[in-house]
Amino acid sequence: MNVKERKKSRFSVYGLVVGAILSLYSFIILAILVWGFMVSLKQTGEFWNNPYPFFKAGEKVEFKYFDALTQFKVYPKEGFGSAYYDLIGMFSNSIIYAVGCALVSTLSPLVMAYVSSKYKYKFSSFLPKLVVVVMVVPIVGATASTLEILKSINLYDSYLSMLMLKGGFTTMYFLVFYSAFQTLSWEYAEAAFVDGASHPRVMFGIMLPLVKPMIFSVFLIFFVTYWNDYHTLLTYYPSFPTAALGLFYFNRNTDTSANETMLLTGCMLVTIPVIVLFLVFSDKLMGNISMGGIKG
Amino acid sequence: MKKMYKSKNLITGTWKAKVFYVCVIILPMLQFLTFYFGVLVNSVLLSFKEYDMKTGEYVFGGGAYNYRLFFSELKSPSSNLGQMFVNSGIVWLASTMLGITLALFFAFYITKKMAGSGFFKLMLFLPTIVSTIAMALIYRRFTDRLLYSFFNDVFHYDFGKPFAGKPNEQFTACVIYTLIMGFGTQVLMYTGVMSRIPTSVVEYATLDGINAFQEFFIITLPLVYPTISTFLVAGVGGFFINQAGMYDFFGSKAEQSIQTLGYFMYNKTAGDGAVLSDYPKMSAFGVIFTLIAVPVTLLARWGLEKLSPNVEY
Repeated sequence: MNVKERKKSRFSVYGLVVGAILSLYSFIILAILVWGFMVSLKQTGEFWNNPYPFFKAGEKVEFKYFDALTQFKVYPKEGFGSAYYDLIGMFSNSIIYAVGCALVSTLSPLVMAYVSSKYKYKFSSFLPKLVVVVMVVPIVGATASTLEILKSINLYDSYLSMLMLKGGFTTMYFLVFYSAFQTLSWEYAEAAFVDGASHPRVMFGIMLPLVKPMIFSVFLIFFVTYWNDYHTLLTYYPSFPTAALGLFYFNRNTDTSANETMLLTGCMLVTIPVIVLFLVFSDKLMGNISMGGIKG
Repeated sequence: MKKMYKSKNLITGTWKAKVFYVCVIILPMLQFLTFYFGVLVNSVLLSFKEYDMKTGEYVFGGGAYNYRLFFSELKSPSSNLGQMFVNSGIVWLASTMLGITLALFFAFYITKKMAGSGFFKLMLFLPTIVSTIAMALIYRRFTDRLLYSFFNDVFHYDFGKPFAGKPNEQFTACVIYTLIMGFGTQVLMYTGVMSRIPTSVVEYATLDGINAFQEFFIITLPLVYPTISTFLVAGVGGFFINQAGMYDFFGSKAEQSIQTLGYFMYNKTAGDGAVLSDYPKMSAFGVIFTLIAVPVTLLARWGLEKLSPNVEY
């Protein structure tokens, strides 16, 4: 038996067992999403009679995706005559929320990691330790306290509060950026300082562009996270329904038994953009996390 | 001049550098002081206050009443707090212990580039990027409508409607959902670390005739141990936070007997079940949970370091 055959045979049992589990897992995930899409094309009455992802004779395909953009409505503040958002408005909110928060969530650890690794003050060496402590030590049940602080400074239910809450630097991405900057030579900066460049110019013009792919990956990860996030908005900014929060409101406030397929259409409309993003940037989304693999 | 700049101190030791440094760190530090440190201190203060219905403000006066409430609720047969600890434990075991075990097997499969590994990697990560609320709403209907009809029609077996059924069925459905949706990040982390294991080590063992299971347990696991222990340490806090998707499935109306501590805390402070007068009580509960979680985390970290196999690569 040659080396290749030996390698192949020693993996056969493991490959069969784990491969079978993974195949089943993949089937379930795909089945849930494909089923969601197929039944979203049904009329609600037909969905109740036939929940299978195929159409019986006489059943019509009802493509609601364009209509849903204007017909899928939510009322964040209940009450007669209150303002409503349709899906177009909610998607706009999703973009504003996801882009703004992803920017601050990326920039904050990025600049802190940069100065911490390149400006050797005593405080700089303290920062990575602080981040590790914050990450390891769990703080439970601080939501009430955060809400009280935001209300006391009149920032509850505002976009600024979201930016402030998401602008923390004590995330694992501080450590990802920190290790990246530590491997970068400071000589590029020295050459620029000799030519008279200022500190902001060196940071923004020379050093940060050297880790541009990593910045983009982290931004992308945060963008997807915030696009999908609805708990934070429901808690701190409930009058600003993004598409994800809109799904929650629609499910809670509407008689979904009469609007099942509209709800599923909304689910698919929220899901499709991130799946497209995932398929286009899968290497960026998954590659960066591998880079950030924690060791020790 | 060029020589002077070679010394980092001549760049970072200037007043311009110090001004720049302060300008860069000031906003993130303010954010940290307000929304981490400030929130923490305020949480402790709030736990000793009570809500004044007349003024709508939180005032000192109840002493440690909210803390006493926790222990009396824990003992009270009419309270579900004890059951919530049990539920949180089950969710934690499923999502952390079983989740990590399966994720390691999957990561090894992917690292060894066995059949379909690229596709499986995508599939494992997919639930991580899909909106939790969208996935939960589809999953609920998938089990309650499709699986129910399928088992009835094909096998004449009453599969039931897990989310509309008995509380234990609802809880099981939530635990399974939490497990299958949580592999993405973990598998990527483990795959990243496993791929760094030197091939020479593995090839040497291959010549000795070890099979895949032996390679997994004898070579791979000890070498990825630091990452596993990091996940275990980070997962301790999850015991008190994990909602098992209950808010996505049931909003504020989850059955009391299936609630986890994470769901209970969230619903009482931020969800539809939130009442302003409950904030001090929830803060006290949060402080108690933190006081439990911090030493357990540190103990877990210490214990896992002690158990750490003495290997380097």
